[in-house]
Amino acid sequence: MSEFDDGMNEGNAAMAASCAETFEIVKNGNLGTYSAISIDNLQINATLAPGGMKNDSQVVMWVKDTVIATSGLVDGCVVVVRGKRLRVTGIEKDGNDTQMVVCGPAGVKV
Amino acid sequence: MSDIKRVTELHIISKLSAAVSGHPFYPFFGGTAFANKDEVEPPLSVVAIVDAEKVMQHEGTWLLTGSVQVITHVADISSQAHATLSRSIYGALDSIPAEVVNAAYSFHGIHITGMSSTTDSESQCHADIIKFVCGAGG
Repeated sequence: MSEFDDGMNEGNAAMAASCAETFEIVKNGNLGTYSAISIDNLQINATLAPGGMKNDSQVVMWVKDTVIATSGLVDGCVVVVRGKRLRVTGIEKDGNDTQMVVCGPAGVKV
Repeated sequence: MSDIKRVTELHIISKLSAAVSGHPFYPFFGGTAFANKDEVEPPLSVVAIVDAEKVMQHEGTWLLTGSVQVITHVADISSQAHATLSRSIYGALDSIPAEVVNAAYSFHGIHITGMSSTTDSESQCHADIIKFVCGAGG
C-alpha cells in the first residue's frame, strides 16, 4: 500500500470514530442495518410525477468495502437513510478500501 | 359530477386492479386522496387521460384519449417479467366492457391504438405506454 492509502485509511478510521452513522438496506422486504463511515446532508425534495408525488431526495455516503461486501449493497438497491427511502444510483471507489455511494430517489420519473 | 377524465381514470383502474392482482394502479394525479399514496415508487402503473372531447352538443358523451404507463425498475424486475406484466395489463385493458356503471356514469367502450416503450433519463426503469381511446358519458 502507498503512503496515500495508509493516510486515507487512518483518516477514514478517525472519521468513522466521530461521524459513523447507520443506514438500512431493503432486501426481499426485510431491513438490514449497516454502518457508514459518514453520511452527507440529506437533501429532501418532492416533485409531481405521474401517479402522485415523487420523493426526489438525494444523499452521498462513504462506506467501507467490507460493509459493501457483507451487506450486498449494489447499484439500484433501495436503502433507508435517516428514515427516507432512497435508491443507490452510483458507487465509486474513493480511497483504498472505501466506496462513495450516491443515492437518489427511489421512484423514477418517466 | 366530477371531471370526466378523473372518473374514467378511476373506472379503468378499478377494472385493471381486479384483473391484475398485486400490481398498483394510480390515476395520473394520484396524491394523498388516492389510497394515501403520496410518494410513488415502481413497480406501478399510471392511468392518464390527457384529452376529453365532447362529441354531442346536448349530451354528456365524451371521446377520451389516454394511456396506461407501466413502470418498473431494472433493479427489481427482469425485462422478461416486465414484458409479461405489460402484456397482461394490455389484455386486461382490452377486455374492459361497455357498461352502465351508475345513473351518473356510463362507459361506452375502449380501443387500444398503440403500444410503445420509453425510459427515464438515467435508463433505470422499464416503461411501456399503452395508448387508447375510449368513450364515456356522465
